[in-house]
Amino acid sequence: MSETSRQQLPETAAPSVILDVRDLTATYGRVEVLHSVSFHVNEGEVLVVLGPNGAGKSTLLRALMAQVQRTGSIRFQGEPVEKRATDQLAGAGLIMVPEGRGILGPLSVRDNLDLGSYMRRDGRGAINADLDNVFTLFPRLKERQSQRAGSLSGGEQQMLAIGRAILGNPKLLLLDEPSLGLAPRVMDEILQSLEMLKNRGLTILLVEQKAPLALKIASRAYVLRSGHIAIEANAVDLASEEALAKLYLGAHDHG
Amino acid sequence: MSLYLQFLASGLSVGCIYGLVAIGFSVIFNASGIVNFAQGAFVMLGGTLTYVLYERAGLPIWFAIILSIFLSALIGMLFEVTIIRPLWKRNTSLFIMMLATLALGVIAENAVLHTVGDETHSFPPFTAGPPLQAFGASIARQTVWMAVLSVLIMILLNLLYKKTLLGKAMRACAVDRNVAPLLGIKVERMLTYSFGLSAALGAIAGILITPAQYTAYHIGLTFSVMGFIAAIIGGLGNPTGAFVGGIILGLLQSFAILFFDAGFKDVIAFSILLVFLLVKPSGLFSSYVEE
Ligand SMILES: Nc1ncnc2c1ncn2[C@@H]1O[C@H](COP(=O)(O)OP(=O)(O)O)[C@@H](O)[C@H]1O
Ligand SMILES: [Mg+2]
Repeated sequence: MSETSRQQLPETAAPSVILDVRDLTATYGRVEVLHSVSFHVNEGEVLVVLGPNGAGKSTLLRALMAQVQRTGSIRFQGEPVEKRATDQLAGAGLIMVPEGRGILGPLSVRDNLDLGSYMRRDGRGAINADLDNVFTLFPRLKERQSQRAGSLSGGEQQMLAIGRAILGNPKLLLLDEPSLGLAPRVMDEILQSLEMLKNRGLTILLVEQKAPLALKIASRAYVLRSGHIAIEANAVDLASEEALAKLYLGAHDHG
Repeated sequence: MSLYLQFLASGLSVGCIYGLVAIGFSVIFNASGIVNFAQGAFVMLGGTLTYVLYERAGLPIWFAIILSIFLSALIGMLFEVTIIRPLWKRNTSLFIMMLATLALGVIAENAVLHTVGDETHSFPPFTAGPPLQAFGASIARQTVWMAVLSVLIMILLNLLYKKTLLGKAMRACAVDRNVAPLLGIKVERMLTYSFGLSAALGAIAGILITPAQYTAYHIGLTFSVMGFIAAIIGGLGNPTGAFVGGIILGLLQSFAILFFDAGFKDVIAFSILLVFLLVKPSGLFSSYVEE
């Protein structure tokens, strides 16, 4: 599954860690928004970071992508990457769909997808295979290839953003609130496709405000509150109503 | 009738040159929001370098042309890397960066004044021969070259932006500078390319117009101003629009000379600038960033 040379724990065959974050602190100007956050993502899992509006979820992802001022240590596939610029991180397979989707509106749907594979050096064949996969996953994108990306509906734009990220051949996909502004039915569709990607072995770090949605496909979850990690738990443990209620009432415990 | 045709041809061809300069403005404006006032200096450099390489160094004309386009592009890219980029990284205001481009224009002007001289220079038209006769009008061969090559370059530029991954990446930087790096695009490198491309466009404009008129160390400012007005007419954010703006400006100037007097051509140009700045500052054509 993975080529990283992490030591396995003796008792169980521990999954290998693809992203290991220690003491990550992020600031806007002089305001510290993320306070010494530590967490990890296992290879092949869907990790969810939950938290209310303003908790620092987007900042967390931006910090990983070197888009805000930050300190701390970040290891990606075993290598320290704190010094790398955003485009280099993307080239290494750390691909983010930003909050609001980051669609290039004036360009066509196909142009957006093509730009997804901009940094790839593994040949036309592999890229075309991924393009076919994206079109199978989201047939509507194929129909609307030549349309201006800005003219797509919100759901279609989210599909395009995910499709474009897939074309970058991600090792770890970072998704910032895909549910934002989408009808529940459309979001279900998106979740289904994420489930499919997960089943194909893609590792996903999903940031969401809407816990019930995200926990449907999550393996593990963290809860972020005011820039701190408040809870870490297996997704099943958070999925119960009682646990969720506790979460929103502000209980601090480690699951 | 033939007189009108004559002025039409001359307006069109000069308009194409303004158009090329205007595209140069729009290429950099789109990539950075900077209005590059050194644009006209590259028109002067293109013509002057070709003159120096051809007349003084004795290189074949085509080689001199290609070399001077290449050198101009290099100067443009060097300027971006050494001056604009450090300012950019420090989050300097656009206004300061525009002042830097103005300074570059003045430096280029003085460098040419002191190395090449203060006389006017020219080199032979691309093809020799008497003017072409059409419907009673006589049209210089270089005029045809100016129009045809400018349109060709505009088409090539459109292909670059619409069909190549590099061109699309440049547009991506223009549309959303935060999203482009997430796709692995090096925004700074695209800005360097934009300065190189824009300098090359200016140089080509200078090379096309020099055999029809002349070049001299001081012509840059006029072309900066006319190219800028053209870009404002067409829309700074849209290269094709900027080119069309150049043609409109060239035609208006040409007919101002015909109907009034040569002295009116700048009056017309600046009046149009004021009207557009007041009434339609975004230009006739929508920007490909906002469209
Ligand atoms: N660009 C910014 N400049 C200054 N403060 C910001 C900026 N973006 C977010 N913040 C602040 O950082 C905190 C966390 O925001 P954010 O990461 O967007 O939270 P979330 O994604 O969980 O809603 C909020 O208090 C927000 O006001
Ligand atoms: Mg957010």
